[in-house]
Amino acid sequence: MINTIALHKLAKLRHSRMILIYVIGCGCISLFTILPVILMGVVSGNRTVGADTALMYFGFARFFGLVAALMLGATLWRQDEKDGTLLTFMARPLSRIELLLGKSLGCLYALLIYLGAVVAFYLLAHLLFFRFSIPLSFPLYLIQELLFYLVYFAAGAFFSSLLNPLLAATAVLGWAFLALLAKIFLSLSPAWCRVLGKGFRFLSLDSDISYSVQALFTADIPTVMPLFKGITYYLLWSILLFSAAVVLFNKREFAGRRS
Amino acid sequence: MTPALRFDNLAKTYRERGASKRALNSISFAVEPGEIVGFLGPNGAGKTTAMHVLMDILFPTSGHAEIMGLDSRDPKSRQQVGFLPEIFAFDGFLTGTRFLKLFGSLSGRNQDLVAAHIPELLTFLDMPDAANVRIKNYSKGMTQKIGLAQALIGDPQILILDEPTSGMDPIAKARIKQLFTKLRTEGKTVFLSTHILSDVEDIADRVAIINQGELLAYDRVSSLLAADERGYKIVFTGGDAELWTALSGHTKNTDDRGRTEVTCPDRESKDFALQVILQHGGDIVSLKALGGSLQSQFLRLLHQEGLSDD
Repeated sequence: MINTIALHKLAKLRHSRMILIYVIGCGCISLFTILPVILMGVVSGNRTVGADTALMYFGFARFFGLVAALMLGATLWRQDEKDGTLLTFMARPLSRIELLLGKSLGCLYALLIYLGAVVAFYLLAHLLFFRFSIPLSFPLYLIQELLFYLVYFAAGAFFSSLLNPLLAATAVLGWAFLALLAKIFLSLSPAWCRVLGKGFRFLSLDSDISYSVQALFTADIPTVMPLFKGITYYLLWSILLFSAAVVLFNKREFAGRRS
Repeated sequence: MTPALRFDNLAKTYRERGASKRALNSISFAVEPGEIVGFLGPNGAGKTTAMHVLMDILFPTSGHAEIMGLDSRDPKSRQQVGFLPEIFAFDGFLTGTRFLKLFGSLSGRNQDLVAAHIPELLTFLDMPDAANVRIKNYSKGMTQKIGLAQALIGDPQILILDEPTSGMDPIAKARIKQLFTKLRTEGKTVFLSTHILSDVEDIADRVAIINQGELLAYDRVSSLLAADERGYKIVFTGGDAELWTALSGHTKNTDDRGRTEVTCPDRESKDFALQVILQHGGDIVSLKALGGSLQSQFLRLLHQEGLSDD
């Protein structure tokens, strides 16, 4: 039953005009920004351009994925409540946890497809232009990226239990913004700034823990260890936030659609 | 026997912006298996709230609701239930068949049986051509019908329907009435909220009347109709002079055309008046029962409570 709901959610996302516009928009922005860099690398014969392009490309992918995951989380059941379809699901012999897990699994499928498309395009570019080997740690990096999206997805789901989707998304971005504040304060010399910076870093959803894809292509094997650190960090946050979202959803009462 | 549905001292209070509104005030009644029960009340009476508590969409403030002996908070309680919400809506990209397959599988029914049931259902609801049409292209009446089909898919034993004929044309309404009769013969339980009292009078075994969260009446339709009899009106012409003396205990009025109207307070008095009129050469023009309709009983109950209907 969970998979049936998940596949329905995926089909619903596939038929969403907003998602289509978002995917086309993101694709175009990424392509038109990265293509010149690739071309420069090819023309100049500079092989290090591969790593630079990877950094830029995955930077875009991460940002667009983050926003998509956040919006998927924030509208996880809110959209169904708004259009009146949630009641029909709830009248079936399903627990609320099954319903939420099914819808979340549908979103996870969508994020996997997104990540799959990002990687496929990247690998294609490498095969065509750079032809250097893909490190073994690359799959680990992808797991970290997926979990990074899941943190934002779970945060969106959690905050949307308390606020409307737009405010929920704003709240999550505000939370993530603490990471930037942490960086700023930590870079300042006064002691109180560093203390404040550490405080922000502790509270931030997006600590500076992600392992850069650029390092992935240039670093030695021992430096892969931070990837495990990143995976653990995002996994724990995802579980914590999603569990809280499930608890709140389970305690929530719903209203029918108004005529 | 375990009741199909049971409300036990069910109360529900909404809290909004610091103020609380009591939507249900300790209502208790049970719906027996195989019965058709009409759930009546003006808008805002608490009908939808009670149905939503049954479906675990809302939680009771106190008391509880049961489906086949299982608490409504238990998802298993909905295994044999088909539910149609007041305003039915679903994702427009699905075709009728795909939509019904989805909900058939979510009911945990055998997929082959569900697949075989779909054409039969759509034909009965007079929309066989809608099977491969996307829901977004349906009219309001068709959307309501597909919602009803969704409640019926998988052949559930209990149907909880919130205004099932809303937005349907008279032909479709007649079809749905026919459907309820069919469901009764199959031993299904139907708990329906509607504003069409004449339909309920025709098809329901019992009626629950609710207003402002209070259960005003829960009884057999026949008992409610009998309780609402407020006498009879006999109109006759002719008759000899002694007839007036014989009917001295009744209220009488004669119009310009020589038609006399006699009001009888009860059945015995009516039988006596009819006998006397015929014995004394009078011709009966008409005989009419006063009250005795579900609508008048419904209005009377609301009026007795000092509450106006809408």
